[in-house]
Amino acid sequence: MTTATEPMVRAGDLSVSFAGRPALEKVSFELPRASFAGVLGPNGAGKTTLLRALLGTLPHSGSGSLTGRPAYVPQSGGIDPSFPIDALGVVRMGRYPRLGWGRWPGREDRRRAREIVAQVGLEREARVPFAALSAGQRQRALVGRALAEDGDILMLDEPLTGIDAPSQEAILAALEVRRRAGATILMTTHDLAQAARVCDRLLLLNRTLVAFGTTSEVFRPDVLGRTYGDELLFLERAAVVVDDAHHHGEH
Amino acid sequence: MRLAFAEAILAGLACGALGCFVLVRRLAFLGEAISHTVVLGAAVALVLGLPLGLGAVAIALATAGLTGAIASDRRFSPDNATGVLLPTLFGAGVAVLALTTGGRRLEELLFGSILGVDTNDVALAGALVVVVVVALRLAGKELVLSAFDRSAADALGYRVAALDGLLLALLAVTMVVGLRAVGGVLLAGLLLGPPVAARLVCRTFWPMLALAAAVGAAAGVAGLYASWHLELGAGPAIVLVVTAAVAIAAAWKAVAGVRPGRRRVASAVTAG
Amino acid sequence: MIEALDAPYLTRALAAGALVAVPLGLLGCFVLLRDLAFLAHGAGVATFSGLVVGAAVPGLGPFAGAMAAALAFSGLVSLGERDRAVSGGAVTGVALAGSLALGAVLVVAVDAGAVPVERLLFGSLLAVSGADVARSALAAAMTVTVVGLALPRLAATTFDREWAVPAGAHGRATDAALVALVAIAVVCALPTVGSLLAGALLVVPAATARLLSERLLPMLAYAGSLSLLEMASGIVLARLLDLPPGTVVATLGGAVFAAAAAGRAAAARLAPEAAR
Repeated sequence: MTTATEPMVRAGDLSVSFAGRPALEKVSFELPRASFAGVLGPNGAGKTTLLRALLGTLPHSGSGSLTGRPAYVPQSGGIDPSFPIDALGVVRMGRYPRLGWGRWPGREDRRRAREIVAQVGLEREARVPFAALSAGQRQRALVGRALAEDGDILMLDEPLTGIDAPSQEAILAALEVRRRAGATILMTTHDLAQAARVCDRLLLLNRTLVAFGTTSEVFRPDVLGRTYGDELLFLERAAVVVDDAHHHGEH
Repeated sequence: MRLAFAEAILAGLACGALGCFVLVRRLAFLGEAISHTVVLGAAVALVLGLPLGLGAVAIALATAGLTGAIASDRRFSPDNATGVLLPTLFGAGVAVLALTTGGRRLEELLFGSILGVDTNDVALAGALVVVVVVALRLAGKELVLSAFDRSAADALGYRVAALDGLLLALLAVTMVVGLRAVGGVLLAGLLLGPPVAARLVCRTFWPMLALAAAVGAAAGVAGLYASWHLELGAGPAIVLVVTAAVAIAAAWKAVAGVRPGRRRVASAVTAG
Repeated sequence: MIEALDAPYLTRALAAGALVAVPLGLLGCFVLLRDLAFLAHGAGVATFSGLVVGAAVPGLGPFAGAMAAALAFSGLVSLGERDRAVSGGAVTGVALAGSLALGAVLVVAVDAGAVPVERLLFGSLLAVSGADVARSALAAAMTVTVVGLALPRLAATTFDREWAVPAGAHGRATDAALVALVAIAVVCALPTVGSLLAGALLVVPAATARLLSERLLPMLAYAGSLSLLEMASGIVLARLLDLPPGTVVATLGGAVFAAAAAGRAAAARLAPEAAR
């Protein structure tokens, strides 16, 4: 059983390289329970790599550990959108990891899936094929899938990128409900303003950990400047915008 | 016999060269499918009294067109579409041949009949190869561009659909030559083997194409020679030589993979 | 006509065919959704050399030879296709042509007269033995059991591997199990449909099922049933027309697909708002 103060996500000198080139260098941090951490950084900073290393799907040196069950929302590039499945089916898929071999989702699983479909605002689209959903609706279904896993640690890779504002709000609302129930959330994003608004902690990554701390500590022009370098555009009153004209999404 | 050697060289050159486009455009399955569905084209041509080559080209275009039509449905990928058309049209072709000619022409369509070529056949093959060479000379770089980066080609103003059509026509022409040499069920070997072997050795496209054409022609000669001396089928012998070439190239790549001055670290990108 | 259909060999052919059609239809859904049609076709073609070797080597038998060939082919191609430079089917194409060429050469080496090439390529109603029926039954039982047990994993890894693997779905194990089951089903189908058309019932009924349903479970049910019906009808028709059964089954499958596609297109035109 975890205590209220034990860190849920821990990284100690976590490093990853691809074909000899470093993607992450000695990243160390700890996230307490029920925190909502945003991972910020320019393209190629290693945001996706960090999540994968923590999940254990990438070889790494140093240590990365998760206390409790993770639930992952990857960037959706790996999905075959023409797969025969509807929104409810996608959310219900989140129950699969808890089922062993030979067990199919039961009544409780189905009830939970319907509940979460409503939570993310897809009740009317529950039976619509995934392929026919809008980008925002698809993303809500995929977040719903992660919520259905009933994980302690939610890891989301750019979940709000490129989707409509109502869908973003629906997702953030559902995440906040989970956080209040004790889940720890780690979310990568390149929307600085949004991260400052919803996250209580920020991890600024540019292959190395530039800064980590509470939002108020870290969300400052000098720190952001060190993270983003040339990609940053400063407006009046220290509001900052990232020039992401070159943003293609990380590998 | 000299005619058979000429045919083998021409088939090897054409298939080796065009096969490079099939390789980079990931059209291997389509090529395999067309080389089987030609049986239907040939069967229908026989029934209608038309030249076999005409039937072959017509069915090649029809197969490619139908594949595109099925794959345009978001539920189906090109692999799916080809997977549906190959057995259907091939099965129908074999059935039609069996019903109309009692299956007489089947073996030569499936395994080739290179030993039976006459001067007309070789002249035709020569003409077709000239067509391919001229086309590549005129439009080769455009074909490469649209293979590498279709959207860029489109943005630059090239009509990518027309280029696709040209490639398909060249493929059909090449296959007519290759069918005579090795037959439908083995054609994928002659079409893809030399390019695969060349790709394992070369890093850029045009050297790869030249090497593939050379490998194809050499395999044609060596295979024919082996079939003559060892009393094997010509088509199978040619394809076995090609397969050996691929194996050698693969072994070479595995052994010579460490380039001097650059330590090779295994890529960690995919796992699980 | 009824007398023509009443013969023990035909009953065996129908039994073996029907039994193997079910796993072919079920597995075909995943072959379709994972873009494995070329691999499956290649595995079918590759069995030819295995059949020849198995028939020639005393004690081995064509079934074992074909099984070894199909598994070796699938394993080799799965490895070869990892090289991005030559992926996209080229390795599959070379491997299937190479194995067929090997088989053709071996036919000559073994004994040209003794090996019934056309039968091996397209199937034969006369060549189905009781052992073939038993093997088809076993393949059907294995497939239904494994697919039933592993359906959540199969679905999850097919839909979104990136999510499924960290969630514990054992991607590689699921892949291997699927490929092995496909190889087994293809080899069991050889006596009836032959090696060149083994892929027909794997892909075509599943494609037709895909036209009929937007959800996986109904798709599986449709594919299994269509495969069964097409195999049975194809065998009967082949008997009546005196054609190799593989060719009739394959053509029939395609005709059903075309009919379903035409039907859907017509329905869409008549009710554009209702159609998706």
